[in-house]
Amino acid sequence: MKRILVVEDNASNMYLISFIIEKMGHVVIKAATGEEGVEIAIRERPALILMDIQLPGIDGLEAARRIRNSEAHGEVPIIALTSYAMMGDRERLIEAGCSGYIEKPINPETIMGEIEKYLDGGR
Amino acid sequence: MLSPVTIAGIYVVLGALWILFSDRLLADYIHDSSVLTRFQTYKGWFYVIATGLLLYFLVSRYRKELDRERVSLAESEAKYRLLFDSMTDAYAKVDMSGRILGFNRAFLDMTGYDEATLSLLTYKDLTPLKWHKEEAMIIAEQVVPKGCSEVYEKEYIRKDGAVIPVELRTFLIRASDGTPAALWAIVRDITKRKRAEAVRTTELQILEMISRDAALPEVLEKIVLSVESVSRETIASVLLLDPDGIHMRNGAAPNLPEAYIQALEGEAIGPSVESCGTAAYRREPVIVSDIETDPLWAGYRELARSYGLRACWATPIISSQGRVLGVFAMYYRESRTPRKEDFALIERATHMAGIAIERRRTEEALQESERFGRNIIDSLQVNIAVVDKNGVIYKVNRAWEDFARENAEGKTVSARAGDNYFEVCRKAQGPFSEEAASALRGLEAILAGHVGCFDLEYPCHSPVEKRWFLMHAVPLQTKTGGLVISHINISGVKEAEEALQEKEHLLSESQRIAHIGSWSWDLSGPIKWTEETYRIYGVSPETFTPTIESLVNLLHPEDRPAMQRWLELCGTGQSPDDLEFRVILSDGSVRILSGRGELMYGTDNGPVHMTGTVQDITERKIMDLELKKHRDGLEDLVRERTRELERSQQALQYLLEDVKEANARLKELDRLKSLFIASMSHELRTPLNSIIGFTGILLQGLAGPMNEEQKKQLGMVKSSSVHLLSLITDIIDLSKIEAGKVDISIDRFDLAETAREVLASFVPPAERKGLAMEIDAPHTLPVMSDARRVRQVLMNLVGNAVKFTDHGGVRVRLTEKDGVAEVSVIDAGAGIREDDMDKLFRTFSQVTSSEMPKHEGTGLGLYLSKKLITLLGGEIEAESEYGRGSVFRFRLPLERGGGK
Repeated sequence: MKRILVVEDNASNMYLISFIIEKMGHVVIKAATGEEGVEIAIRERPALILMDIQLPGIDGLEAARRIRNSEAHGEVPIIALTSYAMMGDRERLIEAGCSGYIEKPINPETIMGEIEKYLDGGR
Repeated sequence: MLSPVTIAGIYVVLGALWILFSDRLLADYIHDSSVLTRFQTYKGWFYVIATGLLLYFLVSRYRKELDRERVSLAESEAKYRLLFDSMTDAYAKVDMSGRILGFNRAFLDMTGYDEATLSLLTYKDLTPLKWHKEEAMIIAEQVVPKGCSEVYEKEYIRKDGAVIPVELRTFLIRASDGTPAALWAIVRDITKRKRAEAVRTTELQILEMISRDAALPEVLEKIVLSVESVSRETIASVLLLDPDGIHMRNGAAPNLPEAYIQALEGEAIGPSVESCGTAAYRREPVIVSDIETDPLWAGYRELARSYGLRACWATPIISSQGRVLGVFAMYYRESRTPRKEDFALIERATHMAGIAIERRRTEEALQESERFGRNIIDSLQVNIAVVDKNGVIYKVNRAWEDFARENAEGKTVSARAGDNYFEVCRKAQGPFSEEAASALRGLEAILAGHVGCFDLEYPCHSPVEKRWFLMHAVPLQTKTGGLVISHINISGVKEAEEALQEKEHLLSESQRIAHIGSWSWDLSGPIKWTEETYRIYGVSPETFTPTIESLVNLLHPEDRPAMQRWLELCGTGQSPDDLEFRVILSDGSVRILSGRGELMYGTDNGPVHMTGTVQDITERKIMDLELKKHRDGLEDLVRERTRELERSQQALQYLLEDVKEANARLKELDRLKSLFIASMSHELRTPLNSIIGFTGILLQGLAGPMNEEQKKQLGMVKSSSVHLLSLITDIIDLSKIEAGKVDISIDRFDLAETAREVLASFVPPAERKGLAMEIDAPHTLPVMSDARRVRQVLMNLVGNAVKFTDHGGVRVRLTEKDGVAEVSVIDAGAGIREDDMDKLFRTFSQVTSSEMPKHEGTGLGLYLSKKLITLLGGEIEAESEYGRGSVFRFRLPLERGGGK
């Protein structure tokens, strides 16, 4: 059982993702904004972060960058959640420090596969 | 001094006396016989002693004399020898057989022999055979009878074989018995004189050639050859300087190698252009004794060497005006410096060449000047002839010649060069006899000195045209005198005169008909009116003289000030406007006239002349008034209509502006729409993502089990949501493209691999429909483009192919040619009707057919694909056969990413 941080502003999506993660038997830590996500990530040291990119305030990219720059917590895998329109720039995601991405709409099978992959240490 | 004979006589006398008387004396005084005997012995001794003394005295005296004589003889011989040897003339003494007995040094020098050899020869050995007979005759006829000959010329053969001309005089020496013993000859070498004579003769020949105008090259060659004949080793040449004073041409060089001459032909002169070019440039002789070492020949040394030339002495040929005409040059095959006589030779040759060239140039100039004059005279369209005092034509110009030739057959008076013009005039008959006689009188009057010139105008019509001529004659101002007669065709002038008269008549007529008169006015002088003007003013030319005052007085009193002002204005030089005024005619009727004038200006821009017209416009004025009434009514109507038109135009204008504004607003709206849709993407998609996500969870049974009906319905929810999402995605893409906000990310990727991936992703649905998927592509096909957009297009095309094909398969083919990648998606589907082909790439235009169920799709795919491919710098097209299948094909540049 791992602790997984989900940063997502949309309640429905948050519920959907949380539901799937909990179904997988892991613990979900929720954050609704980028700032909150960074703070929690540094404080709680989750095993994996699912990061929505389009967020109010600082966006997912900036949040990922801050998490990566925090000395205490540099190594956690961050999976970006991105809509099709945002997908254009994989390099921008990697550069910001994301380890991978999942395209919306979320397919339960896909997200489960990705979570398993990164929790197993794949980067 | 006593002569030896006298002394001998005295001795004999004294001896005889001694013999006769000494014995008697002794006998008288001495009686003793013994003593007598003794004394007789003493007497004998005394006689012997006396005789001995006398002899001694005599002998010693003669010996001295003999010695003295011998010395003086030797002296005189030496003197003579010296004299002969110092003589410049040679002298020789031969015996009558011709053997040479003596000679002086000059003779040795002249013949080149040494003394020993010469002594063994006869004078005939020295004389060429041809002279032997003649000389023998001279000796027989002159020398022997007269003692000496006249001076005569012959030749000697020198020891070296050379034959030299000599001049000599021979004297005869007789023996004591009076027989001829020897001949003396005083000989002079006249080589130099002969050469000088030859040169002089040549010069005379050359001068003669020049004076009879022999061709210049011929003269120059003669000069060159004469120089070469005098100075044997030289090769002479003359170069001519072009009139431009820069380039040299060969004048004469008969013995210089032709190729050498060609090599230097046209060479420009300069400060170091071998000897000749330099001499012409410096205007002074340039003596190059050794071409091998002289810097002037630096650029020509190889050339000279190849023709074996070693020395070159060049002297400029300068005209009497000081211009350089050319260069005289002497070449040698050995290094050589000129001697005194060479300079003399050069000077003479240069001088002669100068004369020849200058003469030729002068002549050419003269000919040129003659040609010049001739050309000018010939160019005149005037027939000119020169006749002598007797009337014989000795020079005509071309126009005269042509005229004479053309009219020889006609009836006109014509004469050619050589004819007697006076005779021709005298004999003229027919229509010209009168003019000819008059002309003859005029010409004779000039010759007699009564008049300075003579002019006669006469018609001379040819069968085809009317002609007039002006004959003009003046005396010829030369020593021989004569006349210059010219005939000028003045038909043009005549015609112009006639035409002018005709025109004036026409003008007058037309003025009369049009009731327009005209006038001209020299601002300072009188006013001239045409006939019609008089008529308009109602006055007669006989009784009325137009002046400013008389004119003004004809006017209606009310109009007089206006006319005054009008005239004053003209005087100041301002072109006046038209003036209308009234005149009162003699019958009291009033006419309205319109005057118009134009000023002409002189060179100082002041007005000098004025011309104008005057027209009776009374009738027109009356008509104008009638017309005006009608026009006023019409004008109101027109004004009303115009106002209406203006109003509707205004309305149109407003409308146009509205449309423009609306257009601008529409454009802005369109942009805002695109922007709006683009920015709506997130908001629209987020709930749909939720719906699809949750449906997925439910369908997977993660939230608990469902029955089959629930699963089926939920599946429909999911597929509808996915469709909606793709619709939204396509619309957003399109909006972005249309709003110019699309992101293009160019990178290198493998198109073949992308195609294979896309194809692979469609394998499951294809297998469900039983379709075969094939790909025909190279192993790799790297392109620079936007991988995601290309994939999107490929997904769309392959998706369509799978969607619309029910049997057979779908094939993707990749090829590359000329830097362009081509992707074809080939299906065996329903195909597209030809009518529908042009709808293919439009928005929301899914091509349907009644027998086919409506297919699932956004209807935006092909439109979007076309936009994207265009954006990436490529092109897309489709071809299809209805019922057989379709091919969708797009091409992309391998290296160019595309526009934005």
